[in-house]
Amino acid sequence: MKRAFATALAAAAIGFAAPAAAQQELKVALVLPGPISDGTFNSAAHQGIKAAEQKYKIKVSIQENTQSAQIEAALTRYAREGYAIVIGHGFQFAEPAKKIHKRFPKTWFIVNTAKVAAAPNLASFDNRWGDAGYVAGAVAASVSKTGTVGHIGGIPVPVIQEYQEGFERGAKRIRPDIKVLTAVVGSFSDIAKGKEITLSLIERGADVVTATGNENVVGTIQAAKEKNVMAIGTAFDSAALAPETIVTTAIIRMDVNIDMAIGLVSSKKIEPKNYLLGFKENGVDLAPYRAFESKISDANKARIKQLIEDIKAGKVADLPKIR
Amino acid sequence: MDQIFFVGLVAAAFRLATPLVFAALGEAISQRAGVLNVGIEGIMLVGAFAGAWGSAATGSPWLGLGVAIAAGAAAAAVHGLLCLHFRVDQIVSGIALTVLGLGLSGYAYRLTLGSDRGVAIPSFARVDLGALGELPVLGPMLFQHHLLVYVALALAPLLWWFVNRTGWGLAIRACGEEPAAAHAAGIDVLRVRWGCVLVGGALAGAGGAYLSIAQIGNFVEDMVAGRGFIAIACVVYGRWNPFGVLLAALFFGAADAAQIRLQALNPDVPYQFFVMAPYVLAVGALVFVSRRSRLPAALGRPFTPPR
Repeated sequence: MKRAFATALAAAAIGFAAPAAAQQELKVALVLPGPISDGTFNSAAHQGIKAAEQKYKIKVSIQENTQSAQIEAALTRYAREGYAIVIGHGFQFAEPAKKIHKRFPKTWFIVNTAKVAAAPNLASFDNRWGDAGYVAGAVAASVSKTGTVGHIGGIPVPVIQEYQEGFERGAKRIRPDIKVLTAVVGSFSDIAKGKEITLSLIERGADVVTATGNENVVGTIQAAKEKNVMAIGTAFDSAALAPETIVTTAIIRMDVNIDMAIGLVSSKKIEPKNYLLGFKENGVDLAPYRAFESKISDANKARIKQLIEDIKAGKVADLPKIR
Repeated sequence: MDQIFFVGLVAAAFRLATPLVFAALGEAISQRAGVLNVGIEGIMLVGAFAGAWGSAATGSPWLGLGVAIAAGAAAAAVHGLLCLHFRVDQIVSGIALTVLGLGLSGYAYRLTLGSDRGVAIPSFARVDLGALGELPVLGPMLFQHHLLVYVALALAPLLWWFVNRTGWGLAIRACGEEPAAAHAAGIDVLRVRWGCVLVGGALAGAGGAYLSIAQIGNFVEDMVAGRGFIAIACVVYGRWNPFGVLLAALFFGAADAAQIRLQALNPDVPYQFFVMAPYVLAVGALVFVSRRSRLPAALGRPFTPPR
């Protein structure tokens, strides 16, 4: 027992010593607009940074619930404290990062879900939300019986507009006569209104609904569950919330964004540009059908699979423009 | 306007109005006694969390509601302590309570329910009113709601009777209008105000719990999303009269229910126009109403009993 302990200790000592000598520990800050418990946008980033913590030699600090007015101060503080990477999670971090990045040349500023970039140390990672919406729309049109589907956006920021545009076009690709209803909650956290607005679309005949945003998405899933219609999740795979309701999820792999950012800075290969990740780069994905595996025809499944392959190969002409 | 649209709109109006009715009636009672509480947004959040937590912990939404009411009163007690005991400015205390409620409910959620995503939160089922619920048109509009919706509707006449027709109600009004005279008449002004602040908090807690354990069956941070402030507008709009407050809350519920429906029907009109419509109505109504209304004379003014 004693010897085993000593061996373990020695192994641990070697294990710790070797990489520390080879590579210094990177300090990484993640600044979030909302709570890590939101079950979607912020949870996804949190999951990503946790995974990166295992994979890379990094020390992580997370700040949650950062209001727009506090962003500049938060980014500045981390840069001043010598963080090698400061990640702002959300397009609202783009302008503040652009304003201050030059003052801290030793820090890499990374903005997630934005398209900002500037030499020498500002890069951004974004996902092809429009492509995700396109595939979600195709799935919705394949499973809809009423011929009416709906999308509910929290607040129409660019990625949500792209998703909506993709959703409409993807649905029409499968079924040109489909009716796509859309509405906006006007808030990311108003789950009750998210639910009400979804109920109003279901009243108008929608039997497949999807939503983008933060917590408002949960309200949409709830409404679908209550009214026995189908839902397509977005961003974060939360099928466990309502396994009988959620057909699949158009996953935005924000963990891949974060992993890539940290990896590129670690290997000093990062460039001050916008990295746009789609199906091909694994930045967007479609979750398994799970409980709906048996309810979707093989022909439809093959059609969706082919569509994703076509998108990867660049063969789909009407994918939404990146805004 | 077709039938599906209208039936859906009326039903949604009641659902959207209910948290406002609870919170606004509580605020009205508090203000009638002379205590302005602009922190009900925070209290509602505390109530929403406490309801979800209590319901998950005990397995009963009723006990969850009880926890929410107690937590709402406890949060309001902070306001009472600051304003009535330490005579802090009521607006400042209320704003502090808003921020405190947001942080506290979010943090407590993460320590408890948030760290265990699989936990089920038992929620109120809709009441089954039998034949009434089966009625065409009227059934879905009026008789398929949660019990709390009817409780909220019944509270208004009850409070009206209490405030206008009972001795206690008279004491409350006296404390809000002429606390010195009330004191001279032998009324313990601070005790009456304490009671009204706690009742106001309890009702705001119930309003928050309606969101978490009746309407949604879940808690998320900041889920009250400004309803606490609309409730304060309802009090002014309803001229401190429980019936007026009820009507104001139903009006806002209907306005919101209408805007979310009109949005989907008019995709070419910018969505901001619809989302802001209820708030524009609120501001417009306040401008119009406030010219003719008279608030409780001693509202917001601390009272020290002469020795």
